[in-house]
Amino acid sequence: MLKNATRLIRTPLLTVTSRSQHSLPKLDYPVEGGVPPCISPKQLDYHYNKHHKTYIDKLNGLLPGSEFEGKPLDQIIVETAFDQKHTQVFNNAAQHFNHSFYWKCMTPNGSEFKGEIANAINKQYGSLDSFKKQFTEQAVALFGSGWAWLILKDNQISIWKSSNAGTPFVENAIPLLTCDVWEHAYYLDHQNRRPEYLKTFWDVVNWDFVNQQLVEASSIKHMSE
Amino acid sequence: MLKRTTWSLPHISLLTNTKRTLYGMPVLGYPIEKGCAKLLTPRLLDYHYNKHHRVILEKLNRLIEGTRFQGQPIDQVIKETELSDVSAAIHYYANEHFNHCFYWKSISPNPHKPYGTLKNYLNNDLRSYDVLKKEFMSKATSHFGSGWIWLVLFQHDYLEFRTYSNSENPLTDDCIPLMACDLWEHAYYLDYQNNRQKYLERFWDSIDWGFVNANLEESIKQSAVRLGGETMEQLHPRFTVNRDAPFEVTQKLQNIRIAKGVVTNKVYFDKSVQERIDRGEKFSYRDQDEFESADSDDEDYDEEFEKKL
Repeated sequence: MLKNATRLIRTPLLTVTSRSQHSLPKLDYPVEGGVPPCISPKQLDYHYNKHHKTYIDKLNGLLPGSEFEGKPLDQIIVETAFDQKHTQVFNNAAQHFNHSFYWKCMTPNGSEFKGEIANAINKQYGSLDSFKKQFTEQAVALFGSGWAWLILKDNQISIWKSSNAGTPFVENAIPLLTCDVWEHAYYLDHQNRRPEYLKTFWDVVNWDFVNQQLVEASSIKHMSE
Repeated sequence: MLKRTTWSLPHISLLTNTKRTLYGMPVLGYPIEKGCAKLLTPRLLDYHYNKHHRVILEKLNRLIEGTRFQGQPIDQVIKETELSDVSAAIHYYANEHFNHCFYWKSISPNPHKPYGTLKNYLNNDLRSYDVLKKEFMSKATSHFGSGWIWLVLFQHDYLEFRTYSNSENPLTDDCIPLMACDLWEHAYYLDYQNNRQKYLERFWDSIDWGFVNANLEESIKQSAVRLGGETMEQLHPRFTVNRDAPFEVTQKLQNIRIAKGVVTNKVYFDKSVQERIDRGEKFSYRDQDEFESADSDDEDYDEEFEKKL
């Protein structure tokens, strides 16, 4: 299952690896526009060009000469996940992945809720509103820094929380949707009002991407069977 | 020696503003409209105090109202809820209220330099002031995610910097808290964005060492009260005179002289001073210089230390 998960991550991810130098993935929307109505241009600029970039720079600084040089991102993450000796590598690599995934989960002014994902959510949670409520509750209840996820595990979708740099595929789960709840993700726009940030997050979710994740995950599963 | 230091300070109730039955916001030692010197702009201070801290306090009060925790000193609440699943939220909010109260006192727009007992500890520490700062900076910058860095006293002897994640603090650890620095992003984001290094440099310059000293001396007094009687000689000989306390000799035990509210080391007394003490003469802090023996290196050391500051 883990092998399938990592195979999935490689394809849709834009993380460019060339000669062990990781770099910022290109966004599908201009930084100067922000991601209305959730993220202002200034917030997006800081988050993307400072925070995300710093994780990548640190990762690139740690790799040369190490056993992880030249390896793809998902492999680095999986190999360092439970290894205390390489916590720094894991933190930066996982945050690089998490942020790259987060950018894809959003699109200015959102998108239509349809497709396989709509069926799955309605089946599991009854309605989109009910799902949003539960996801928001989990995201708001997360103490400290971390991420709220919608994941696919054991053929079922569920809501999952991770602390700091935690990422689902080291737990044998496939990420479908994520929301960054580290304070740096929303502080300039919403300060301490995390529920308000979550509310506007729903207006920017890129359901096409989420749907694509689900469809690809299911197809890989069928291939392995 | 005490393995796990149980630390219950009456002044914690004052620190966290425990009145009657619910907790209140601590009174800041400096006006919010002015911020805190170069460290915090008024806007950041206002947000952190009036939005983050106040919300935490309100949630805490709502959670403890009507429960057995209502009216208890906060350190007691924190220790009792440490391992409880049911009271995890109370533990978290109580921690954060305590942490923030400590933080507001740890900084000042006109901070004191180290003096008193703290200065003695620093004098006897092998690390210089600059080395301590480097330790603080390196631990604080490398801490990943939300959390706090504390200056703590470990086993009555060692000054250490310890980092904790999220809301944890020394009350559930085996050391005594002396100073706190908030590493959560909300503590610095509005002014410094992701430049935690710059925030920490400015924080170091804003540390109110007078508060650190007060905590240190208070914990020593508490230890003295708890240990009592003949076990006083277990106390560390590096204690010094509290500036404000009158110096009265009440007891003589082996190598340690105990004075009311004060502990001094006999090494510093010469014969003529001893006679004056035996006659029951009253002394003040300023007389302490007389008590130090001619062979003591401390005077030179003090000058060096002053230069470093």
